[in-house]
Amino acid sequence: MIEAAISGLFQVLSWPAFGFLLIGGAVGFVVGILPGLGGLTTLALMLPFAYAIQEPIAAFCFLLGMHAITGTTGDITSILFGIPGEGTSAATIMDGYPMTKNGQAGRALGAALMSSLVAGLEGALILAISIPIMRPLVLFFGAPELFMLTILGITFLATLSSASLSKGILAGGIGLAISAVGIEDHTGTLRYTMGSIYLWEGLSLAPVVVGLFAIPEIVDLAVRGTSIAQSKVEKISGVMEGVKDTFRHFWLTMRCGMIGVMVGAVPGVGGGVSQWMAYAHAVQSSEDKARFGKGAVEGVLGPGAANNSKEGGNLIPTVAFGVPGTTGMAILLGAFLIVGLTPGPDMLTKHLDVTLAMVWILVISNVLAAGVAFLFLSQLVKLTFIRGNLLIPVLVVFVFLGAFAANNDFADIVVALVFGVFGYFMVLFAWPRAPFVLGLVLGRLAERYLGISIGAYGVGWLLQPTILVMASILLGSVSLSVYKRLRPTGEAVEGNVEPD
Amino acid sequence: MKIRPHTIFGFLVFLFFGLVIWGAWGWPFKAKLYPLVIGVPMLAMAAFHVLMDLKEGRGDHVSLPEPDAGATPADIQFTKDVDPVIARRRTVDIFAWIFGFVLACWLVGLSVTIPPFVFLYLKVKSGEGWVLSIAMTGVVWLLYWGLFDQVLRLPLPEGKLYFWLGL
Repeated sequence: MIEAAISGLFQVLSWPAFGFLLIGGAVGFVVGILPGLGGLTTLALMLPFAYAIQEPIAAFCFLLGMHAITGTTGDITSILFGIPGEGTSAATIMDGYPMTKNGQAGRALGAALMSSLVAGLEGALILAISIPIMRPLVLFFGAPELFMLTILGITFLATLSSASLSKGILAGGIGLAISAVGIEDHTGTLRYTMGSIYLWEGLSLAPVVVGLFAIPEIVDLAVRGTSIAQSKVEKISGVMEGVKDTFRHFWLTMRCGMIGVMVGAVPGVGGGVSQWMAYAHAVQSSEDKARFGKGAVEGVLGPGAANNSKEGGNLIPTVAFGVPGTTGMAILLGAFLIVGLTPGPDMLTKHLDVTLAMVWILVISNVLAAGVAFLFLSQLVKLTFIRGNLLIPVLVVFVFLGAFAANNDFADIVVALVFGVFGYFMVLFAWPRAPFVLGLVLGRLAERYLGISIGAYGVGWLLQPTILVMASILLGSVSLSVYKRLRPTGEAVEGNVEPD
Repeated sequence: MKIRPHTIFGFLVFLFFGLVIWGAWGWPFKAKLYPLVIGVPMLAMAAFHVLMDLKEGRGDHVSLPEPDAGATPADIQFTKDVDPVIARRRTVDIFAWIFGFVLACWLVGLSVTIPPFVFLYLKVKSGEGWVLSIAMTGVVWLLYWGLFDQVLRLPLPEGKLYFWLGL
């Protein structure tokens, strides 16, 4: 393992991998600060570049480095403008924005960035430590268990990512069904190809994801019709005080970092939840709870810590089981397949150096992000005043160029457009997109595991003890979710609540 | 009974799963197993979803609360600060520009479409000044040319119009 760790570090620091880390980091930095442009959209936009990069570690340097940094810099806009730079940075607003209004913007930023850095390193360390523990567990799993895990992952994500259980599950089902497009491996049957040779290979993930995530955001940016940030910020000072706060409340930072890792490791729960849980813990563990919501620095340290450490936690199920915890990880899972890696046991044995390189990427990108943010804080804030109208044509051009880069086929552009429209309606009608992406990514794997299970055991695999346990967990989580949704409150019983 | 847009969307999902099953029916067992394992339960769930939606639209039942109201949304939500009529007009506008861009790319190719698209969007749609519009068009063109043409060497397709005109 130590050899693999050293090899991973050298591969990350080698050229051109380190160059890709810097480029990805720079993109993630800017995107994290801009509230109009989400980290997920950018991750989706940049996914096609994995085809061009091909070398696994260099591709992860670019994508994972970018993804890790958006979380760190997303806190900057949350604190300065009260607008979350990232969907997962919302909890930082609770006390960060009041601190800005109290003239303590610098202190809040210092606290958020330093706690992000400390907890980000903690998350990476826990990921590294968990590998030897996960390895025997993962190797114990066969095709039936892996099939059940893919179904469990989609179900968890479906139950947790939408107010409507059926919408979540159906979205996952659409993704699974669309993954069946193309030639069937065993019989050579052409499935749902509609006479198009382009569809023989199935739908490429990159144009689907690019369209699905980028086009709805472009539409929203056009509808808002404003600059990204709408309020001016005063001069930033007191950053060092915030840095010291992190060490004054060191154990709070570490505990909230741990919450981020633990919540991040649960498939489907997501970054937003970990931030809110960390915020709740910061409030709960404080002696003076009345200060929260009015500018308590602990209310910035907690979410700041969880926001970054969750990435280490997210990577645990993604790498070990191929079950991504969040939408970002689902997109990143696509990168695994693009560069020829299959998440699961191989990532902890044959490709252990790649897994440990990911740990190093998290460490290095977190250090770089915090360092650069401290240096250029005042200048970076000006980026948020770019008008949406200037961004839109640039985004449209690069969305479709990115989609085209997947296979160098014009059909990819059409696919991006079709799924862009589909993504727009999904957001409009509150259908979660994460289970859909997960279904699409895991569909082929699920089919392979299902085929092997039936080939090896017939239908008998359904009665294996591990399968029964996993099926019970699945049914339990769905039943719990249904119970929570159907439990009427006093307001509902009166029959006056307008459904969505 | 009031049929709402999201009920129609749900019904389209129901039709989608119906087509998944119908398309798979005549295939060999190994080829149809997976689509049917996914399609059949999803069709049933989609039917249930649409029925519940229709029931809600009729308003003859006890409505249930949104269970996660106030919770962190797991996906983006469109802005609600803009007047719905203006929002609808802007949505149609931006989709028209996006579809126009793709159509132009198909007809005359990406290389020819990009500069006029960026310039027209900035100058005509957004009402930006000449200098900014030309400068931004130049920057996007340089980025496109440098990254996609020179570095990645993408084989960008010619437009269909040239083919039809025999050029």
